[in-house]
Amino acid sequence: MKCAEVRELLGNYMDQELTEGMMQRIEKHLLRCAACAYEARSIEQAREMLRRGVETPMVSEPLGERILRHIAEHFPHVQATREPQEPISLPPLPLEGETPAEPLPK
Amino acid sequence: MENGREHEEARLIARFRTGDMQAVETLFWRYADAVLAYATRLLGNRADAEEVLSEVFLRAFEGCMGYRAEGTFKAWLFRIARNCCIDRLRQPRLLSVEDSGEPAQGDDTAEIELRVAVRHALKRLPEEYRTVLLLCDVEEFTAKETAEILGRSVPSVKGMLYRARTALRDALSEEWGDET
Repeated sequence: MKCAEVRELLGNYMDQELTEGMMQRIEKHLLRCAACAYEARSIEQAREMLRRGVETPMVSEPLGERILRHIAEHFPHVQATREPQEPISLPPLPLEGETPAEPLPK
Repeated sequence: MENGREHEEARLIARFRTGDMQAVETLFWRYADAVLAYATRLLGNRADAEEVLSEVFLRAFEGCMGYRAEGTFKAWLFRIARNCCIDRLRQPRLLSVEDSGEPAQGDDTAEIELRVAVRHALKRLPEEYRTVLLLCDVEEFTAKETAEILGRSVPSVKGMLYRARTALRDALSEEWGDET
């Protein structure tokens, strides 16, 4: 195989999208040709670096909740099925000298 | 497997149409991290990506009310995400927002260096190269799915992917060279 043919198929080779026979022909070429071997190895290495090096931010719960509220507001038919948030009522703080109220049940 | 998920998501979309918020939440939390990560990598900063995230899901659910394109919900979301990111990249900015934040605490130096090099290398690539690399090599969409997302043919995606990988290799080697 000529270098130009190999370069043409290198992408498919790396994604293992060629027939077994063609994969072997390219492998043979890569063993003999340092320039093509470097091309294949360096691209594969860059791909690996990309996978390991990309940032993976996560959606925080407050951000997710904010967006979901926004969606619910945007679609009135959905908003109707969303349960309203009950306001939380806490027992009043005891005044000085008073016995503290019962702790909230868990 | 993939078909099972497609059917399940079609049912979730049907439930959303009837007003089931639980279905919205399931679809949102299933893909929110992936869409945020994709937008952050494409735009190069997290603040813009968070705004895009909200816009993507709004547009997606708007679309679910009527016509929905063929293919998986995920591929469809990424198609919307890509369009939203392109719109945002075209907007003139009063202030330039750089980078997507500080590295997390506890990361070792080599990891931070790699992340910085990758971020800078991606920024140097044309948008379409960045997109095809992120979709195929990071999100692991197939060439066919990527072609659907980008509205291109499969051979054109494969050709572009190879050029993008080569360009990334060159950009990374320059970034790496700059730092040593």
